[in-house]
Amino acid sequence: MADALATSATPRGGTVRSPDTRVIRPRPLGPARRVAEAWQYRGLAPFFAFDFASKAWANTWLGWWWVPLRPALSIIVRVLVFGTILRAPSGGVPYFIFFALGVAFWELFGVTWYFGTRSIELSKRYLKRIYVPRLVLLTASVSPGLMWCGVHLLIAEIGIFYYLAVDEKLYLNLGVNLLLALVGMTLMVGLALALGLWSSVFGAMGVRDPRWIVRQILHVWFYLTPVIYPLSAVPERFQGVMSANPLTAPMEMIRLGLVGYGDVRMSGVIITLVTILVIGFFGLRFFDSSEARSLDEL
Amino acid sequence: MSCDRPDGPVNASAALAIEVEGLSKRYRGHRPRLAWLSRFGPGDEPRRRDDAVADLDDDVVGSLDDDDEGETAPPVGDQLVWALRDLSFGVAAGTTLGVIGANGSGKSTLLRVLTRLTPPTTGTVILRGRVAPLVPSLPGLMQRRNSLERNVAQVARFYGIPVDEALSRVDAVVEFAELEEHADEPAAALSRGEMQRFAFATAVKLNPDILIADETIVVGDHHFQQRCREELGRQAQQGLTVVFATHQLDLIEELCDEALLLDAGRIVERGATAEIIRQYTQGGYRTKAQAAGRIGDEPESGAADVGNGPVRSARMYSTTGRPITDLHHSEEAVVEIVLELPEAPATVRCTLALRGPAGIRRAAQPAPFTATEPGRYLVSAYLPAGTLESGTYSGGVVALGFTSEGRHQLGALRDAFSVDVFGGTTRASASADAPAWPEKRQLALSWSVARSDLVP
Repeated sequence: MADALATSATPRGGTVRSPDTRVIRPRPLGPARRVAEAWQYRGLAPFFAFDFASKAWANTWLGWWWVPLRPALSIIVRVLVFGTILRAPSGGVPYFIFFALGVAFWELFGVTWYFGTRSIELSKRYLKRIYVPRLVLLTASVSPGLMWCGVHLLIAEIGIFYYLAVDEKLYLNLGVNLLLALVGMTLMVGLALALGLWSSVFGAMGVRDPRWIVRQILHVWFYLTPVIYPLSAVPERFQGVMSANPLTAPMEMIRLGLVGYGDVRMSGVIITLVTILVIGFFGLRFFDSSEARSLDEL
Repeated sequence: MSCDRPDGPVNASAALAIEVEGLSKRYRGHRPRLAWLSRFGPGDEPRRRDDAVADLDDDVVGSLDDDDEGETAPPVGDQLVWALRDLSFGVAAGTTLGVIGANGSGKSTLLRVLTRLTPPTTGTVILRGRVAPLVPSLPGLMQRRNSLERNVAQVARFYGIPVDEALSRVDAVVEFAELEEHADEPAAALSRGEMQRFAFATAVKLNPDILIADETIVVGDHHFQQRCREELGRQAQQGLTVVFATHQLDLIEELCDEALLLDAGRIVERGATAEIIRQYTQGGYRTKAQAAGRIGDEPESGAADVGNGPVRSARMYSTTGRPITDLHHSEEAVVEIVLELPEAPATVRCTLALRGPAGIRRAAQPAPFTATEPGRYLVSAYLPAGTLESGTYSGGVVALGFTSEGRHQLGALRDAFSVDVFGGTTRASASADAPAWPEKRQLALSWSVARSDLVP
């Protein structure tokens, strides 16, 4: 091998200008180095975050007006069906507020996981031209989830102000309890990113199956999570099973933090934390060992 | 793919900006589908189960079925292809290296590995300095609504250069691109040509140490192209290393100190630009390995033995892509057969024969494949570990053609290669209780076919 190493004639410059040396090898980078590299390129995250979020109004006539319109129309219809017609329980909180808050944070989880799955595939026009650490893309996939969550929260705020004017009652906890909602929100994002570590590799393979599978899982998961109903409305014998759902505890934490109505169980919180750690730890190892190969599929 | 920063001290005065050693790159065809499912719907055309299984796992050993009747030919191009093979070279700092070669020779793949767009399959690349890919679509990394300054910062982020450092060079970028009058406007105000100038200026003025360019290295009108040439020359004097691949030989001759000629993923020659271009344009070159008689036994152009027919060469390689003459019993190997099919469509099936100490081992492709276009095809047979017992083997290939009138021999290449297998049992040392090998034993191998001139 060494005899095949051909070196050039005397260089014009003579010396290497920078001590910044990189060694490219076939083996995976390693989870720790991959995270460190993503941190080095963190400046790219806002670019991709906007790129992902802008998909919400790309190729439309109404443009960004769709951002408030889509959730507003969806909430109105579903509140009419579940709240007015089916009389779904909401623990004394107006169903509009109950539903809008629940869906807001469900969107945070669901959209983040969905865009995490598609993060590499959606960025292929960049990845084919220049190196970008793929963990940056996965991290940026939080942005559409945050955007939809924010819009739903705004709609919920409108409802809160409406009921403040009509019922003269503020259905919002202002105080330290809000921190509980923040923790719940963090857990949801953490779970979505942990799952994205797995699904993004499959999502990069140039087929639509992974994202459709994620959609179907989300569809079922939505009804298994206390989003449109409170945990207390579930028959007691099923509540234990429901608590095993790693999304139940964060959702109840958020409700308890925001409107003071929720059933947070320590066992549920532990299940959520363990799930995130296990899926995230092994997901990072899987991502590290697999994502480079998936680049050739783009 | 790993891209490490060495933990220890770096010798910044080392003369080589790029070191490539034992670099190979293998591409896989498009991702396998669950073909058995598509049988039940209006999806893709049904495919043989063997193909679906082989797609799902390239290491699967296909069954050897001599019954050709009613079999669907596997699609060409849905296979593993070596785009680069055992490349080793170095590029000194301040050198402009031109990479030339025919389509499919591996130029772009080499640049893609250097810019980390694709991981190498084997080998190591050492890059000393900041690497900046100069791609025609660099404007695609910019945001048209943003100012020129913000776009310089944006490109710097992609290059991994600190933004503060990039911002300090905005004036130089704008000045070089001759866009002073647009300095405070968004990039959307620039024409297409101005955008190209701005992109080039950004790439060069961010002071990369290594510039990697595929096809495009100078942009704009004649005046600006001249400025590009001067700037590249000036930066090269200061140590900028450029690797540039293109089919524009005049540009290579003008800009490059040296050239590298690639063919079928291998280095044919490396040397003075004019000499390499002469070799390339006059054709008839062979890879170094071929010239040394280590690869192929491919007949000289124009002097083909009619008995060989379309079979140009056959050779055994390790799984890392190195040509081998020795193989450990526990190692896997690949036999690659190069077919030159002058006419299409042609339905062909290859049979590999390995004459060893215990007789002849034969393996045939489970089904013929149909070449829809004339050209060079690479038929690969994967030998799992333990396939061959110890001993010296001589390999030969027979190509059969299939027409409506039946099948006939297109050509054969005898003693195309030889390999010494060691580390396993030999027939003489095998247990007396073991069943005797039949004299003509058939091997179960996994096969693939690819157009060798369509490597990405």
